[in-house]
Amino acid sequence: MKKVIALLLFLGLLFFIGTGLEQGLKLGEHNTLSGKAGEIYLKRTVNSEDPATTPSRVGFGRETDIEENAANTVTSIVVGYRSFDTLGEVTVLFLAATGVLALFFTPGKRKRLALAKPNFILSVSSGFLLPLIILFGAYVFTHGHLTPGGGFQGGTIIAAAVLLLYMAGNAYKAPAAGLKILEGLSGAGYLLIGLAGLLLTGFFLENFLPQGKMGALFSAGIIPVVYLLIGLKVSAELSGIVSDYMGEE
Amino acid sequence: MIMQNPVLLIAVPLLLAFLIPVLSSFFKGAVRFIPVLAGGFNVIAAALLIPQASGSLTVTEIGGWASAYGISLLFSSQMGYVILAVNLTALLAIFYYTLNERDLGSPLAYPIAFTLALSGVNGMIMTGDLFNLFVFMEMTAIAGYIIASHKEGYLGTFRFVVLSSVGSVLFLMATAALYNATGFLNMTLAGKSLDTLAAPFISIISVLFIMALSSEAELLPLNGWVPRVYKDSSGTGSVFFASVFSGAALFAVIKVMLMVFGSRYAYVHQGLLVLGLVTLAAGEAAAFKQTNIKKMVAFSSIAQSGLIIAAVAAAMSSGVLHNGLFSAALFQLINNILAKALVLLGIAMLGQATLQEIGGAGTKKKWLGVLISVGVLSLIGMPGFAGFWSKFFLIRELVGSGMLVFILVFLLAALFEVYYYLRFLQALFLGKSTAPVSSPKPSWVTFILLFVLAALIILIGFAPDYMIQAVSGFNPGGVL
Amino acid sequence: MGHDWLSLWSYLYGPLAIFLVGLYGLLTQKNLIKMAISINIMDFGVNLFIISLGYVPSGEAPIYTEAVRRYLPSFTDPLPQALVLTAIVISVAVTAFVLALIIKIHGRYGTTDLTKLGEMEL
Repeated sequence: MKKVIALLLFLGLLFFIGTGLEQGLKLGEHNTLSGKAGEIYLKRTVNSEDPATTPSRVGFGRETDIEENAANTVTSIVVGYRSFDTLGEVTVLFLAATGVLALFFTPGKRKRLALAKPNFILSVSSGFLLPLIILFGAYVFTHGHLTPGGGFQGGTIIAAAVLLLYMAGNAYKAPAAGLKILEGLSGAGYLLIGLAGLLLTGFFLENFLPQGKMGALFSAGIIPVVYLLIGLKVSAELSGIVSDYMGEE
Repeated sequence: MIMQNPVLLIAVPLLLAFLIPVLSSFFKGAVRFIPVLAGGFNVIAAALLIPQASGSLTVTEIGGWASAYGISLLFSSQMGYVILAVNLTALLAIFYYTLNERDLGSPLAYPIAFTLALSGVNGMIMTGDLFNLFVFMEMTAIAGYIIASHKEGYLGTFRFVVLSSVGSVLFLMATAALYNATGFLNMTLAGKSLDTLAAPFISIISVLFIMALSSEAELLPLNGWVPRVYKDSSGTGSVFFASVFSGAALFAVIKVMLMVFGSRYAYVHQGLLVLGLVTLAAGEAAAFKQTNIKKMVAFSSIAQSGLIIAAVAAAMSSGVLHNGLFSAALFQLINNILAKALVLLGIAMLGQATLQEIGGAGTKKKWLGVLISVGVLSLIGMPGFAGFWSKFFLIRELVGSGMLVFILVFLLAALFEVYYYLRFLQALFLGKSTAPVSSPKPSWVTFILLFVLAALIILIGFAPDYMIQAVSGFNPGGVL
Repeated sequence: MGHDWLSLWSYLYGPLAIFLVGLYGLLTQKNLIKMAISINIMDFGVNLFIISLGYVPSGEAPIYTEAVRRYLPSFTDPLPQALVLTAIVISVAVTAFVLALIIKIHGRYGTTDLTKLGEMEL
């Protein structure tokens, strides 16, 4: 009986919410960028007099005096224009790691969860795959402002490497205390950059380093630095969560 | 001056929380003082910000980006009082934790959760951007999950997680739809662009937003988690939920209603008015039958949230913002934050759970009984306490607006409240105990916390004009 | 708005249906882990919905490269992509927490079935 009601609710909500939203949304063919915040972010004219009509002065490979010089627009939104949201997101992940720590807390040492003995292929290949995975993760987060990617993606890849280590050998234990310190320091580093912006220019999280040439590795002000810190933080955090689940002290 | 930037209310607790894992590896004992430090800083900063803030909203742009396309924080003197009340009760709850409840669970994780809860609620109250509100809502929610599991109340926490997740995805859906239709994520600008859109779209969006925010603001329909979580959580946890989280979430609902939907969409506010009144009635009726004290306070808290939202909705339903009614609602919000904290801290110190068990405890611990009574009498609306004046102003404005149904439900609810709270006081002072009085022996420092709250309540009770002046004149217009 | 059937389904009703499947799961499932998976499915549906709202016809990825050096009006909207980035991280965080919670519940009560848990506690 409950399933019938739930099914009716499903169909009813699908119809109800769908037809209501249909009337206001611009989907697919009808969607354009004009008049939306996305267009202003792409043109990099947020702080201009009239953002919608000011022409864009973006040029790849040139050193132009524009607001945000990261080639990847999504990165310049995530770490530039809406950096406060990213600060909140980093905090949310920190809270989740703390929550897992709080739940699995037992005074005294715990033994590590023993998994099935890994087979030959896994234990050998993990040896040479590991540096490749870490290198790839580091590449992703250092080049976040030039190509798709960034701190969160890169950090997750490195945490996957730690998970591989756990699965490849029953004796491995991640250094939990060191991970916690790394996590705390990188998070504090992100905040200190923000506060430095507050002291130097009067605005929290202002992009105060030189912008450089769009497309170069050292460009876009504080963005590569912040993504580096976020990459380290996320990898430390997710590795910490993995090690908590695996039963460390 | 740098000190006068509202961002610090969010940034400083964040910084301190990130440093907790680092410091705990070197100075193990220092960790327990950090939440106190963060809470203390916030209270002092809020108190310093209020005098130099104006009565209308000031905008602080984050990162120096124009507020139309970047994220901005809003602050005004009226909001300052709400922020002060929320941070003050959080600080007192943190003091209680540091003195009495440090041994429950991980000594590292709970200070982090309390400190980050401070950032989260200040962010929810001050932000002027919809997606930023979503992020801070999630931060507050996860801090809430950790706090709810403080005393191993796992099942209540699970239900809270489920309901809160439903709410947050609905909020995300509504925000994205609003962006696609209007092109802005800034609350005021998105609201201004709503005029060009069809009515069914606006109705659906408003329903999604209200349902999303209802889970943390303790309103129907997503408030099923409240009684269980209040019952199972520690003393600190219950104060955080009743005063800090619900106060901030209610203010966030008020902000979204005011700035996105404005006074132009009467049908949205009328729907919210009905929801608020139904929540009020249901909450009071459920509290009436409760014998477990914390669950009784939980249902009373739900009912009060319904009352405040109904009052705000009534203030906006006539097409123009009714300033008297709105100020009375804000005054009631602040009073509730203070009184509920006092009552819940006192109950935590009593240690007993049901009406039978606490019988006579008030006569054995006279000071505790008196202090709890101050909070209870303020909630009921006894003259001489702050709660009387906020209810009085509400009734006066409602009579002036001629909202008969509201007044009827309000008076009926007040009657119920008087009954079950007086029943509680009767059991406290005159009852006979059926269980041995085996409660924790708190130090005299803990009593100071209760004294501070009680003194504030009595102070406001004798000088209400200062308070009502302080919260009136809230003007959301003219802000980009 | 005159949307055609295919674009309505793929951009609006499809992701909405996925979200509602997750909601259906939350309402009808008794196993706690299946409820956690339902929350994940709801998150997938909403993320898909948000991304689909950013699509512009014959859109280009919003990254400036050697090939695309200047601003074009046919970039896809970068803002929904940034929103989804944040939303995915938040859903990962909540999933990590809720799975740990389920492990603790199983450890304490010995079951992950909601009806049995309801009978045990008051």
